[in-house]
Amino acid sequence: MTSYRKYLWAFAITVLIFLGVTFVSNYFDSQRINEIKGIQDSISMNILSSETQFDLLKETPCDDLGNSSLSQELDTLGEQVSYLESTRGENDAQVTALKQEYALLEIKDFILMQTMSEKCPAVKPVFVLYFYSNAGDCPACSDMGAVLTALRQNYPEIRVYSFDYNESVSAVNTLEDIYKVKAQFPALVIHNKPVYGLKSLADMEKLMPELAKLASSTEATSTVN
Amino acid sequence: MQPMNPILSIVVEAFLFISLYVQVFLIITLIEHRETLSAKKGRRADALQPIALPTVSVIVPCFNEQATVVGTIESLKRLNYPQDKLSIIAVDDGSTDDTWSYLKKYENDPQVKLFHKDNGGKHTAVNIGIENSTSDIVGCLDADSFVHPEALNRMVPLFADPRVMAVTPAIRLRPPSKLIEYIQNAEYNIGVFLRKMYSVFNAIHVTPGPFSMFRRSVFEHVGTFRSAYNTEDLEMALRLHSHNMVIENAEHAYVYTTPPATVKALVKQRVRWTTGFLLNVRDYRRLLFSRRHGQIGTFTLPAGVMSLVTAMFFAGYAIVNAAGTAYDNLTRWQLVGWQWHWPAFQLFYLNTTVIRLLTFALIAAAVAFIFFGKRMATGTWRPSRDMLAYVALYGFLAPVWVAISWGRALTRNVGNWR
Repeated sequence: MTSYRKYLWAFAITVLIFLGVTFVSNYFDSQRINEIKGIQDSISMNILSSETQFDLLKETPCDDLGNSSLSQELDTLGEQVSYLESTRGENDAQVTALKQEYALLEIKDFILMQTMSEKCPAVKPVFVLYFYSNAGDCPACSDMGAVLTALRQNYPEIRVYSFDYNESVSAVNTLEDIYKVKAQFPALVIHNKPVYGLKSLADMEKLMPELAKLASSTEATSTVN
Repeated sequence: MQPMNPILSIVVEAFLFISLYVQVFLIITLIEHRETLSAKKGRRADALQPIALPTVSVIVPCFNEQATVVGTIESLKRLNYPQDKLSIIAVDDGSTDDTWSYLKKYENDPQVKLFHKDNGGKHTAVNIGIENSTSDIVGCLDADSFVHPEALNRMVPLFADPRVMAVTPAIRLRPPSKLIEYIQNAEYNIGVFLRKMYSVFNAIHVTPGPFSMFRRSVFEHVGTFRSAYNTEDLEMALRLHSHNMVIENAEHAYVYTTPPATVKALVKQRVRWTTGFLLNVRDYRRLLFSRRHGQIGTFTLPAGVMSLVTAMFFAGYAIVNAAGTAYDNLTRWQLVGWQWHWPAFQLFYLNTTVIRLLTFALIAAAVAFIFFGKRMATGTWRPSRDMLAYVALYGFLAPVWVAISWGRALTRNVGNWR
């Protein structure tokens, strides 16, 4: 092979490998997006089902409405969406769509839980709303995320609903208005009041004394089991 | 986890693209010349058997080599080559140990000529040898290296092609016994592969001290060795290329050399090689991208410089990443205390970004090169632990000497290597 032809061939093959790798990478990402969509569909179905059940039996025995598994599913979904956001970039159209749908599901779950706690006195939800920003104005947000992950791992009953403050979903904006959350990050809503700034795990436990009870009830349950 | 900055991502991909291009180029070359993977040794040499064997002189420059010099000379005397056609010229370059008294053992040996001179650097010792030789072919063998008995037989026939002015051997290590030697063993095997590939498009950039052979007339045309940043063998190869001369490689002509036995010695040796490479490329920059001088300037030298830039880039990138991760972990430890969870493998989180996949492709190609080299150097494809040592550790070692070498080359501080 004459030398310049070899240089061209090598270039062509390298470009082909590059395109092939890009194709494979996109294929795996589209599989991930499909997986997330599947989970979202299933969660949305579960929420709808719970809501319907609730409407049907105004006096539903509160025992039947245990839905901690749903919260677990939402957590998994949240982690997957944020992973995709970190690999594909926050400006990716599909990531944005997934995030918006995820935010809506969180709000629906949040409302359902509020309603349940009103109707079933035994249900005492412990929840945190978390508003973060990806616009470069929150260097502490990734650390706050790690604290909340640790919190969930230590207290599986807690519900953490996290929202991108700059999300163009009107329901999220309404939530921000209801709790009067300002654009100071990281922002948390605990006991219906906004709290600002990075908090450690110990800070969170101080802010939510009911966590201690959760911990002891978890221990009690596991002992019984 | 933060998404990668898009500009950084493009830069990383560009570096990966260039590295991949070089690997693809070499693999195409290998496919074109797949006979080099044949286990039959010296086949090409047989085909080129010249009518009359030329006379050969091998120069052994010595500086404080009392421990190895006798072994080196004995290995030369065991070469399967007619005694009357092979002479050995040992030059003591002002050793301060007992090298000279060891050499004197050969005083009455008609095959060995001895010279003693004041210390002036290896190239001055080699030049004394060249000036005192009358053979058709003149070679050199470092006094810490040993030749395979058939090495010369497998090199000399390549001179039957009148265009060939120099022939390089396949350099291997004496059987390794320490981790640092295992790493180098795999590296030398890759070297065997690369040198063969470069030779098929006449782009070998170094005629190494261990047993490179030259037509004597070469030195009349281009001059003898000259001081060149302690890498005179590299300068000589570039000088031959600047005169459009052909450098061949006999991939089955084995020469065994002694590797540095400590990390410090290894780094010192590689800093000398790498700094010398960069400074010599600078001196011979007229070869770069010059079509008149062939593929030394369009492939070997640019690929070599690029690999040193790439090594620096990725080492810097890895250090910054590792420091960032360490800082994040420290902050998190302060925030949440010690949290340990078994990492759960989930297919979803398998990293399949373009950068990660390309990195795997590059590593796969590098591993293939180790196997090609092993096949050429030893005739087997069998995996061995030196490959594992190389893959696991070389990436941590090489950036050290590459960084020092860039520093030295940019400040033209050649250092003292002895």
